[in-house]
Amino acid sequence: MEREMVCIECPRGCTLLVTKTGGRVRVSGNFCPRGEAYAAAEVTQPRRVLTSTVRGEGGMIPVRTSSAVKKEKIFQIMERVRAYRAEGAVKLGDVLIPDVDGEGTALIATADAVRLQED
Amino acid sequence: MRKQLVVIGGGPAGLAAAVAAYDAGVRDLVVLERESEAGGILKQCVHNGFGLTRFRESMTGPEYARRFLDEARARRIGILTNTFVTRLTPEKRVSYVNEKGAFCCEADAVILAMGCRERSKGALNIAGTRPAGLFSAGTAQKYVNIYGHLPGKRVVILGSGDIGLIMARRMTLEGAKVECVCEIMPYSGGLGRNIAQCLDDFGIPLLLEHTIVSVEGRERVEAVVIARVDEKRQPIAGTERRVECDTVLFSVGLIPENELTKGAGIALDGQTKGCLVDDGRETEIEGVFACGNVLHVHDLVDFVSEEAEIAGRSAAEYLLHGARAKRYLPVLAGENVSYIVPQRLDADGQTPVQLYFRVKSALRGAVISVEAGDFRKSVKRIAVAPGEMERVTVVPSQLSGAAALRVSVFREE
Ligand code: SF4
Repeated sequence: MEREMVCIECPRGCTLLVTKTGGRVRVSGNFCPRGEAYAAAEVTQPRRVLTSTVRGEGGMIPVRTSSAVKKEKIFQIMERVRAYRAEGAVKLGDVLIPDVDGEGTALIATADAVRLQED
Repeated sequence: MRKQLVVIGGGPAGLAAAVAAYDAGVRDLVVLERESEAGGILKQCVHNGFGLTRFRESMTGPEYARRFLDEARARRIGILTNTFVTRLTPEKRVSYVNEKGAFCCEADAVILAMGCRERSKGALNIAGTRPAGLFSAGTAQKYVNIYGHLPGKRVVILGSGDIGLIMARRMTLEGAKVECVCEIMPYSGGLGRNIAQCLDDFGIPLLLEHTIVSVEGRERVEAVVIARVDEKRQPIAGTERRVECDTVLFSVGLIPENELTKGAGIALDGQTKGCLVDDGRETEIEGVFACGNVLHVHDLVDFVSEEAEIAGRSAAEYLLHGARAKRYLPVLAGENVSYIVPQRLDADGQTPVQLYFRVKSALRGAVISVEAGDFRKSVKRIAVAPGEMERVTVVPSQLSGAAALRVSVFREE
């Protein structure tokens, strides 16, 4: 199997050529080793960091997964993200959902969010 | 009021410039920000990928902004929010209004960091009705990420700028169906990695050399007609196709927001639509500097920060050591280069200067060539594209006696 892909690990965006013969993965076109690791993951188990927003008391709160999640699970995870409601004040780095993908990846806030002013 | 330094704009450029000026010794400074919070457009860019070049980690927009905001706060740099600058004069008088009233500040130096706005022309040239459901990509981003409203359920995107690509993914994640992205040019205006992770990941087609010829719908968008275009970017008869949708996003580029600059009579570059600057990012008016997207539209915030720090340090040098008489070396955009910044160099500069530029057309296998008098330098690139800014380094004092410096990009032989 031969596949061409763009490495998304950095803005350089190298075009990678990946060949998979049996269990062996060979990568060319990568400027640095991260490209090779990315390509290997792409042809076995692609992963992405998921970013989104959740509803908080004072408005939308930006969030991300603490590490890359399985690509095939992204829409499943999004359902949980969309159903979630944050309560009270939230600080950047706060864990909002401890295990969002069933594999221990957390959903964390990427900004401070204030509690809705009551007046 | 008097201030040594006034920074106009509290986005990534303004914050980094203020911090750099502070670190170079300026204490009497203020940042004027029109929104209720500093951070600029990064506040609504909730996706990751920021900081990869500068910090070697992938941050989201709010996280990147926060890093610079924390730096500014640690130095107790004053940031006036909800403050709108109404006028800048060539004498560096800055008029602004906020809820406390209207003020005028006499500044010894000013850094312009107002950022950019979305171009609207793509929306104007299309035939048909003007129903609800037409948004710029950035406005849609604000609706989704700040207000939590999804602008529509079936989407066609015109233009493949980065914000459009990012919004294709964002709206897909929120449950919308993105039918396609139409790009009138034969190449995308966005980064290759965004095409991969925002379109390819979700099977969203990128239709190059395609445009929207008309919009249908009375109250709400019901469909668009798209068509292939020829080399003159004109729709080819017979290639029209109707695509049902309720929303159209326009991502047709960004333009520096230079109303204040024009008001002060500062000359702009016809290509960048930003000021003409030297390597210290000083404009034609002594003591007025510019950086970030108000100077030229960047595709990576990492380079905005880098440029803002140059401007901040130059402003500090001007304030603390006074103006220096400079001999200038003009910098020219040569073959296949659409623009280059800075437009002139301090000919006696001893330190390396990065020249930022964009190519006119995409090439696989390219050579960047720098010519200045007898000086020659060439640098190879695997690929170049108009959507990806290029950089090359020169040391001005090593270009002895040259009348001008020219950067060209050729196909590799
Ligand atoms: S291979 Fe390395 S240099 Fe190339 S895009 Fe990937 S991370 Fe960047």
